[in-house]
Amino acid sequence: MREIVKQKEGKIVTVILAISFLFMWIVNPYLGQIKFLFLGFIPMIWFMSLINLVIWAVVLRIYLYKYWPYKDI
Amino acid sequence: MNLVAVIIFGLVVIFISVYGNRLSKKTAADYMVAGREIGAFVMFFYVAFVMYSAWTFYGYPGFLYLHGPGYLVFAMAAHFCIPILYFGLGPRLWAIGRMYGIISPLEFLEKRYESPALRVITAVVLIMFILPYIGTQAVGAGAGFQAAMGVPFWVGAVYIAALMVIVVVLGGMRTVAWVNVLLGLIFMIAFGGSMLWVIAVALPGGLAGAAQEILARSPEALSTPGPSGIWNYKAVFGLTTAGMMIAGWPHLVVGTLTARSIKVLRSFTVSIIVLGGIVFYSIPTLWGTIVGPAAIQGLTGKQADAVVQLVIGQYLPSWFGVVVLMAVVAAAMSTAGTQLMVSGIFISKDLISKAVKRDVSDNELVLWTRLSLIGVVGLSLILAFMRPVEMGLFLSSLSSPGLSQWLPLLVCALFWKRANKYGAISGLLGGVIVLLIAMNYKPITFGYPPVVISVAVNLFLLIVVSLLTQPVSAETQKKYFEDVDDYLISLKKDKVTKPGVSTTV
Repeated sequence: MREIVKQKEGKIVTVILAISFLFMWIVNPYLGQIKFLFLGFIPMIWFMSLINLVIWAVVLRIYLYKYWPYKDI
Repeated sequence: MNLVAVIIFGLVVIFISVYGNRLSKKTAADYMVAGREIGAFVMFFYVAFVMYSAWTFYGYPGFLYLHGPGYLVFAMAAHFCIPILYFGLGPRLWAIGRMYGIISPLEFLEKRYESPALRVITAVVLIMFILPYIGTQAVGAGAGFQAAMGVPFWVGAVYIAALMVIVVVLGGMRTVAWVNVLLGLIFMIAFGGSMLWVIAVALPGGLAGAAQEILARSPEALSTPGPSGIWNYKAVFGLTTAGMMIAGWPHLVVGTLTARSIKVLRSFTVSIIVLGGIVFYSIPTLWGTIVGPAAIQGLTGKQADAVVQLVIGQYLPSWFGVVVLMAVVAAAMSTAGTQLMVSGIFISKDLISKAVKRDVSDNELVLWTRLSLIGVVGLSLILAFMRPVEMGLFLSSLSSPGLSQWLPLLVCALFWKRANKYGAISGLLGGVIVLLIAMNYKPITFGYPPVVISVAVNLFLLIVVSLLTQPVSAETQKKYFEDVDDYLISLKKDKVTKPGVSTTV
């Protein structure tokens, strides 16, 4: 983790993940009260969790395979 | 037919264990951390299906069925923090394991904090809270056998316990990992396949039609606070926090020590989010929120734990029951095997060899580990038979909050030089005491789940007491910070200058 925040790309990734993390932690519990079903069957609280997981997957796939200092170990 | 399948399943698992035993190098490192040679494919199944247990089949969909989708944040939050464990903490744990030959993460804590007492206290705390979790697996297997074969609850619980002991005693961590690949595949195919089949035969309007039917009966069913009104903001926030703490489950932390390379940790990070959180976990979530409530109504309390099995029994051919039974056994075994292995390591290496006898040979250590896990199985079976609450609560309200208590001191050990034994011990004990009080006296939680307030107290004490007392020696700080950085940099340079050179040391 120390190695991640020492590089520019790592700092950008950390900020994106942190925002997503805080959203999941603090905002998502509110959004769960909205009576909306994505595709007609996915409750809002699950939908927002999935969106955030997709963000994490894309960001980490790019960062860990291209910029992570330990990517070749 | 069910009996034949159960016997064949048991024989296949025993065959893999015997094969693993023959390949084993008979050393403690080989038995306990698979010789640090687990590759990316096996790592995914090994760690993922340590998490996806009988709770995923029974407790999780059962609780969603009863109380609505608010409960799913527990599982979703876990899929954010397991990756942090593997790409954030993982490389340093992996490096420390290799540099200093560390097998148990508690051994690292002792050396990093310069405190044998901390190691013993942490081992006691973790064993205390892991027992209910292992018990959950026996509960799941017992319920599965009862529903599929009509035998008493204890038959399934004892069957799974006996099989677990054979796998772990014979093969150790490597065999547990291999068996998890087989069990994970069985679990995924049976769990997902049965859901698709039920949707096809029992829900003519598809998932969207089923959702509308559910909303027509209960307008609160698919949002928070849910049909029973329990998922208010504080409850969901607290449950999300509890899910994040899964990163502290010791059997998941040990996984970082078994990886062949850091590339394995990287592959696992991405695959657990995509294949685990997004793809696989959609199955139990759909079972609990849509398929179960649409197919069967009126289940209450512990009855709801069996919602998946009841739906399958009602809508699918009777022969399919054997597939479901295999899925339940696979789910229970894949988790309990690793938990047993880790519990055995904690008891033999962190308790017995520290408290009773300090110099032990590899053979003695392996023997003690095997004897310890037989004892753990016995205790967990007792808990399974008592079964005090719904299965969902076994995990999210009993085991997980307790297992979270060592996470602050683990993270600080890796990233904060100033953390010392006084802070770590007071934080751990303070957190556990607050947790036990909060479980029985709710007003001190301010409406949040007990894990939130207990981990906050734990972290506060760790930081404040560490700042007020002497840090660990400069030599220890160098050993676990600068030297680890240098080691990782040296591996990186080695790789850049000599492509193809093995990183195994």
